[in-house]
Amino acid sequence: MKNEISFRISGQNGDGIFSSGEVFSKICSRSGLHVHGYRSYQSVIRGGHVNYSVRAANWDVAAPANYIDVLIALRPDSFIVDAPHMSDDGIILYDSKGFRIKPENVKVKEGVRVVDMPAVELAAQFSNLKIVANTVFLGAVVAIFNLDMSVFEKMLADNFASKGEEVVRVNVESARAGYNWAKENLEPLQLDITIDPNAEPKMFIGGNEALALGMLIGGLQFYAWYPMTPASPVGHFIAKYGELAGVVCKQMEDEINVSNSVVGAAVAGARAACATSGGGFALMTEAIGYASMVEAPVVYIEVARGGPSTGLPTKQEQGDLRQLLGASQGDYPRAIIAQTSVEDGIILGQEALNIAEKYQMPVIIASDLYMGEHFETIPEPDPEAIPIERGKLILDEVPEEMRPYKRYLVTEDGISPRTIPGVKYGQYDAGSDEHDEFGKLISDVRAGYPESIKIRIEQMNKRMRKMETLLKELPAPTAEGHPPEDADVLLVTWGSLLDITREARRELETQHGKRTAHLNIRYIEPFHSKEVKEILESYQKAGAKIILVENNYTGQMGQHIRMKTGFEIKDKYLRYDGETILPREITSAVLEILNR
Amino acid sequence: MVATQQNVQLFTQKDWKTDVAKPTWCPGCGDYGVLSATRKALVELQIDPTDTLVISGIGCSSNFPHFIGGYGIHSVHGRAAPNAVGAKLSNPDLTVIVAGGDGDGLGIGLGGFVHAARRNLDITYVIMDNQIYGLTTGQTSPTSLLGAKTKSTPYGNIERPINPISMALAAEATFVARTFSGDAKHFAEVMKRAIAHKGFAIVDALSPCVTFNKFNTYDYFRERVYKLEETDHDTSDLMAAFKKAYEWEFEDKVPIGVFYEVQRPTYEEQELAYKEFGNPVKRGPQRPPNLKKIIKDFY
Repeated sequence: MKNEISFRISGQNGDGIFSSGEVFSKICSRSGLHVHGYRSYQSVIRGGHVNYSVRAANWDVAAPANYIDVLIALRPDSFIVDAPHMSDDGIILYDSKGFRIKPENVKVKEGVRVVDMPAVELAAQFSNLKIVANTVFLGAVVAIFNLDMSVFEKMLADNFASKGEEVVRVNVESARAGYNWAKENLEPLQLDITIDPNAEPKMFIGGNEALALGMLIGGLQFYAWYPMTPASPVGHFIAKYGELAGVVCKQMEDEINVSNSVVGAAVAGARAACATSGGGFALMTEAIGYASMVEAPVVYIEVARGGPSTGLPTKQEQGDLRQLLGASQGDYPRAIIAQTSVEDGIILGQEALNIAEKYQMPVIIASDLYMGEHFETIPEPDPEAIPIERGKLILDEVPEEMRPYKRYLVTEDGISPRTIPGVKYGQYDAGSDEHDEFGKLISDVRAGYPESIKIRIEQMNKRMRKMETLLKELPAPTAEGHPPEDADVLLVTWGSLLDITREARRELETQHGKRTAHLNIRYIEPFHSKEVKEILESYQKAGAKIILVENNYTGQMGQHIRMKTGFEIKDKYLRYDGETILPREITSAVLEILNR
Repeated sequence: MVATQQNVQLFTQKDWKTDVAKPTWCPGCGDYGVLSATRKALVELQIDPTDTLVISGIGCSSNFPHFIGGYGIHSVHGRAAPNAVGAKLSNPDLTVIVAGGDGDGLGIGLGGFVHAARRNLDITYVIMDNQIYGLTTGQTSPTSLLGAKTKSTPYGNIERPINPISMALAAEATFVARTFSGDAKHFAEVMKRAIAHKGFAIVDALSPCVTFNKFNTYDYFRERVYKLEETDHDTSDLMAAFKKAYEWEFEDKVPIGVFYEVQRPTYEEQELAYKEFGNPVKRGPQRPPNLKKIIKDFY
């Protein structure tokens, strides 16, 4: 018996697919289940084909489902795009009359039950809006999964409360009509799931929103952005909620100026951040080196999508790692950290702001479309769990013994005491040219003089020392799962593949008897070269197969690891088709490599 | 911030000089005039250097922040305006002055210049306009005149120049002026008005390059400039300002002074984030006070 719910609704843009998916997600969440939601969409506003997948269980689901058990197929294309992913005994609900789906459109594999449901006709009893048919369909789905109808009704009442009692009534009655129709015409699925309609619901939020919320909790003061899929939800969240919390949210004219405005904000003393995707990040890069040179604390978020160039704007890829690593000219200190889960967004949003300010350097957050645009139930964040750490920041006047003030004082840890405009005796010029301890340029009339050469070396060493200081603070990665002497395979991934790979490991362990281990990289720069090398070598020596899994063509993290450790991971499963990797796909790839 | 004690000189020229660096401009460079006039205006307005941020991009003139007191940002090429936008929005109590060249602001940085202007933040932007790229040793700039012979246009420039005044007017700046670094008194007066103006003020500062621009010299300007203050020009009339903006092009006369001045709500006055919690930098980072309300939307 299945111990999870796997549901999808698909149709055109404008059909209300995402809101229906979200409603069903929240029904599951309010029934005491863990929920994973993922929407697939296209770069068009009307038409096109979109879907929303929901997976829910009593256990901590954190990856997309391998197969769909129940599909609401609103449009003919649902049978082309979504039906092939049905489980062998899955159910497809559609409305041939209401959505003009011809019999020749209805193509499914053997075993899948196809149910023609008059959803539009049932909805028409209560409303002349076609979109109400979605509520009828969802009522039927609630019946099929044996969920509690009262939870759905409460959900509708909450959702439409602002639109008045009549709208609530229409939706509740439509939902009941669908529910009753399914009870009369369909056998519910037999599932091994415990439903608790009185459960305390969990927070249900997307990866981008969690990161934005994390930054708000982390004391963000200035956020700049320019719209770009799939990073825009970060900006939408801060525009909507941040402004009411005292955060200035500014949509700029382009990413070059986004990237520079956050440096201006940071020098002025604000906790500043911005987010974009690959193409926008390309425009931002000059200012990232500039931020590092003037030692301004800024958080840059890059939510990758399929490249190169405009590429696949609404599709998944981890293809921008080399761009993050190679951003901006010269050697300069910066941190690059990957978001590894929705819940991690809450932590990373705060951690990144703290690292940026303590180390007075840019922090780049590496996310991707799947990471940012999938939703999960997470525990409500504790706003006091992570302290706001501002590092060596002088906010009163500069003490006498520190005058005249040296903004770029050479120190052992590389971090100099920082002032911001408004602080007495703390004036300095934040200059992008090489400078001395006071911030005075050594790049023009002083260039080439022995004293300037000495200063250049001292300042470069001082800045780069921050990378060593930071590395000591960051927790080293560890491999989870079986220890080296007891493992068949070590999977190596980074960022968003954490939970999908964990689930693949469960499949490999429980269904295929393989002993697995997993190393997922979160801190990319500075990099724990020594520890990563030790992990890889220990598994190799013990005879375990080491397999790199990445969502790109060249295995960019594999290259990074090799550059940092000299260790080459030869076996790879690389995917660059734009789709999120499913657990079962990793499982098959691993089995295939192990059986070679 | 403007000091309140009218009769006491809290801040003097000394406060606006800096021990850190001496100007590195060529002897006779127009930028010296910009520097001394700006200092004079700041002293006369009794502005506190501690609360002042002078921001530039890259170029000869963009070394400006190093030569004047107060806090400074010497950013990257063409990005003075967005740096100023971020700084001012984070701490709206700062006096923010942008100083940079015509290439920096009207060439590579034109987008930022236009958008900063239309936001009407309370910022003063001085274009140190020498109609040439100096630091890169003499190429054509966006304000180089038609026919200008430079290293990149050895046979003469065939592009029409950007008109900084009409560009500023079209970009919705609320204070638009031009002055000439050969006239120290006029310069200081215009700067004073620009800094005192509440909103985005643009000053096109004619600042001859004595090394690479042999055409737009001090003498060239002395023969052509006249003061708008001495005419009946109405600074509240946008169309009259546009007309004056084109006099240099069509009549070979160079009006200096205030072309246009209007009071409109500044961006800061309308920024929602300050309403309840005040100046973000002065207040410091805080946990979102409305956290419960935000989280409620995600159940």
